[in-house]
Amino acid sequence: MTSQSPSVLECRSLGFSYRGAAGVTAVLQDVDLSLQAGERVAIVGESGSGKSTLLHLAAGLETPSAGQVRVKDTELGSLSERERTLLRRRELGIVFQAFHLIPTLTALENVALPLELEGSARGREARDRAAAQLASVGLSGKADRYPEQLSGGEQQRVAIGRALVHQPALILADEPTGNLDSATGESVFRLLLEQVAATGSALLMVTHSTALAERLDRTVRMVDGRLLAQDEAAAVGSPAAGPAA
Amino acid sequence: MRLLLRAWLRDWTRHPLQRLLTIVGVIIAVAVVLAVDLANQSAQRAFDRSMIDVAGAATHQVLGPVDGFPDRHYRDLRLAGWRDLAPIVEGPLRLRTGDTIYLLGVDPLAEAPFRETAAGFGSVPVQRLLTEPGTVLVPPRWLAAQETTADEPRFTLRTPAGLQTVTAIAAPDADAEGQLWVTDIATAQVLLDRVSLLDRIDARLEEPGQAEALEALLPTGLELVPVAARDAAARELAQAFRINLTAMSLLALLIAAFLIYNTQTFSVLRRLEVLASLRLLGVSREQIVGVVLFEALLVGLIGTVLGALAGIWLAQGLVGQVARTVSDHFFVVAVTAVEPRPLALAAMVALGVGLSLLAALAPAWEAARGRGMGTSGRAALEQRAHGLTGLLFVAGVLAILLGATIAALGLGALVGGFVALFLMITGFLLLLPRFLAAGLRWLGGPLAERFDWPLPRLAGRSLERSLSRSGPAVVALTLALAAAIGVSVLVGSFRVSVSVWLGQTLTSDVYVVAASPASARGSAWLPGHWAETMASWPEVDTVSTGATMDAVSGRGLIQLFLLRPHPDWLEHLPLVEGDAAGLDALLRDTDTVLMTEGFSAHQGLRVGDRLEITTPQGRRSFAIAGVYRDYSNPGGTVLMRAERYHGGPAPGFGSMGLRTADGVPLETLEARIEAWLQDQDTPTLVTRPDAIETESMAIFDRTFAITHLLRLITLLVAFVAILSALVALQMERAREYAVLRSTGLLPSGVSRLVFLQGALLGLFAALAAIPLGLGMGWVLIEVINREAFGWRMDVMLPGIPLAENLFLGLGAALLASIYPAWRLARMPLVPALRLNE
Repeated sequence: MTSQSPSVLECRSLGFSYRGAAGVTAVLQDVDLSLQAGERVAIVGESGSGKSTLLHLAAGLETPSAGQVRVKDTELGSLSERERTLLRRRELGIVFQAFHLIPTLTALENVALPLELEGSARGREARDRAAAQLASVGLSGKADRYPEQLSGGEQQRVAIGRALVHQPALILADEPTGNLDSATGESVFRLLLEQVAATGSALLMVTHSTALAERLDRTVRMVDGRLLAQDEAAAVGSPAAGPAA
Repeated sequence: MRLLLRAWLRDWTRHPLQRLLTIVGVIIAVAVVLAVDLANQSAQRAFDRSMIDVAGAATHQVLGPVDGFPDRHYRDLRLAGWRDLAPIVEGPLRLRTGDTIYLLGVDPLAEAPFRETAAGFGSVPVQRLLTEPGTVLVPPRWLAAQETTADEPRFTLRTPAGLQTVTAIAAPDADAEGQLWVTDIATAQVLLDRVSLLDRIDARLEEPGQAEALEALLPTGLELVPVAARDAAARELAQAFRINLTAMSLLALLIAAFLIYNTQTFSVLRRLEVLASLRLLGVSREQIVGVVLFEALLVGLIGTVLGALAGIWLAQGLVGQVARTVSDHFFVVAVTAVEPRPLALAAMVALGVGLSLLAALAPAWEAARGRGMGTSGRAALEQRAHGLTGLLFVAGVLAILLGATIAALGLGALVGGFVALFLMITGFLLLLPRFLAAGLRWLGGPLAERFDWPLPRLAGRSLERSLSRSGPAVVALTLALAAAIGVSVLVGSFRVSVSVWLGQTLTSDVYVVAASPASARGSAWLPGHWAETMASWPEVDTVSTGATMDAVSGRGLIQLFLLRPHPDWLEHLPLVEGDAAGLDALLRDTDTVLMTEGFSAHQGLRVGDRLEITTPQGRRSFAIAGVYRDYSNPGGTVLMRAERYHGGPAPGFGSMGLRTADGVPLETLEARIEAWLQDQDTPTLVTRPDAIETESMAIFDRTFAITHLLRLITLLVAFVAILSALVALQMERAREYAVLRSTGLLPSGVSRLVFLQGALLGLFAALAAIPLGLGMGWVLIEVINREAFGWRMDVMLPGIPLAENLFLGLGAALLASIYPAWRLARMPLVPALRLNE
């Protein structure tokens, strides 16, 4: 990706801590990260290193203890809960490890949901766009199925369709293949890349798998809540490469 | 085991609201049922006490004309060797403050074997009755409650002979309750204006043949009546009232059972994962069941103890209402204390703890078998709940058919009526889950599609997929609202009927009534010549007189209404059976009577039957020529022309009605009456029909005030049911809401979604409650009321209560949604998203 592209996500001196029984625990410290439009970045690191927290902060689901998060020039800290939600609705798509589809909605309805919430398309138009999106993830024949009637891979495809249907500027994916077997994981990952490429969205993906990470434009490593520089990351060494974990 | 319990019970600190709701469910259930039971029992105790105080240990009573008989008859019997006799003069009197007391005049020398009140004979207070005229024994508790510092305060009574002051001394029986004042017979004769007269003679005739021997000695006009015949009627009426109250408490119990079931099952189901993990670690099935039931036992015990305390507190309020109703209709009683019986408390423990255990048993067993674990297990559970709706539907239809058959065929009298009612209610409720599921499916599917409603779609489907939660909540709310409608239909129809009947009955322009309350046999009496005097006034068109009295009949003691009517009276009489043509002449010229619907139902008599009644001329047989509508006496009344009873002009009567002559203003007649009464000795009250109607309707409203209170309580129960269901949904679907929020649904959108769910449940319950409530009202009027009182009334469709009901249902549901909506809108998203990962 070119450095001239406008910045979609900008994290500056980001910190996150919480107060527990054992005192204050710092989960994230002094994180700087920037994503350009269309750029695909992987965050790798051990469990508990703060990867998911970084993603949640980027999504505006948590409020940072220090520093700033900007999504397309809008500083999230200056927004109210309502404004953060509206921004998320417009600019973000999120893919969860556990799929998180709405069990009471069909596959098609799950995909149409962001359009209806955003109000960019309603009724038939929303359904048509959702159907097209569903077809693009290879599930046109299962539009009327409920999540529980779909396999894990199919559920994640629906989740990807839902995250991308409103063509957001940034996709946040938290271990999108973490709950899938390796073959299914591979196909879902490939689909995610295709879809991101098709919409031109930027992608920030948390993964345990270095193999998957290497297939993105850039990899950043988190250790104990800190983001290592590119050379530091190389020095720490790569975990064993393998199929999607 | 300790760690196991800790794993299970730590949820109490993590989700205190849930535990609180569960315990509140048990508290309310136990409190309501116990309070109604206590109120019933206390009123019954007061009633029994009144009966014992007044009737005492007598087996028979010698009764004569309603205005009393000479006390020399008593002396004659004593001289003839009859020792177990006690003369009585009795009647209600009013204190200057307006409170009614019941005065029992006894001969202390003859009393001891008869009544507890005189058991302390020989004590100084009882002796003083004899030696100090104007002294009365007053229940110590009543005396203590009066605002007086004097040791022996004086009270002023409104008596037929004018205002009289008496000295009150505390009765020796410290437990004496109520407002029964006991005095020497001579004092009572003065206070009740019955000098040298007796109302009755109590007799203890336990040896065979004694009754016949005494009867043979009685002069004409006196009759020997077994006591059982006298109080059976009063007891039966109080029983009917109690049955109505019990029905309300059973309804509360039914609603409470749903509530306990709902909160208990949810509290177990929500923690299925914990149970699953425990099972994986090797905890046995028995241990799982044990730990779940232990918690249910704990909840049941805490709820029952607190519920019992709340119930006793609530009963203090209810008992006053019940006592007042009994006093208004049956007898002067006063209840000063609520004393829980051990049996009632044991029943409450069985209810609170038993229902809690029962409700927890099914999910505990499910969990122990390893079913229903995790989210997929939850879905399977809901699937089973959906499957069950079909079975419930069939059972519901069968229950309704059975109930309708019992009601239509009139099987089992009053108890049969209640069985039919409960079968139909239960049947209808069993149909609801299926209708609810279908309705929600329609809303979440075709309807939402057609109008492009994303939120209703989500709300409808979410509720449909949580049928095990939404179903019982809707059932509880429906039942509460239906009970409210049913009672509204009954009370509304009854009220309109009573009002119409009063309008028909009160056809005079002004009434002159004896000033003393006319609620017992010894009611005040106006002189017979008054009617002739007033009829001769130019201001007066016509005069009617009426007298209510107890008379001895072939069917025991009955209430007789002696009437000297206006000429056109039959045009106003609500005759429901019999031919009005020629009826007036028949009643005037032959031994013929009319009876009320209640009398017909209680005695099983029909038009054409005959009834033997003792009159001053002796026992005569009267033909029953018709049945008329009358709500004045739940036991029913027999109507007879006064002159036929007395065999000539009536020596007296209880009230008279006057119609003004053409062109004479009512005020002119009233002024003339008031002026004339100034010169008379008999205390009277001049009143207009609208004042009588107002007072009658006030008594009516007091009678049913308790049902409004119970209605509020049932609504409270239903509110808690909806709240717990919504909180349950909120907790179960927290992750779903978090996903919606992270996908872009605003916090206000989440709130709207929760309110929508609450409104849907409330709306469905309100709509379902309309047919159920109307049906309940119909059964209450046409089956239960008719069986209990023999009264018929026109069923009124209560438009305003129906609309109120709709608002109440929606209001309760929306009110219950406030907290879950507020909580969900502020829910931290990340922890919720991690749920069940």
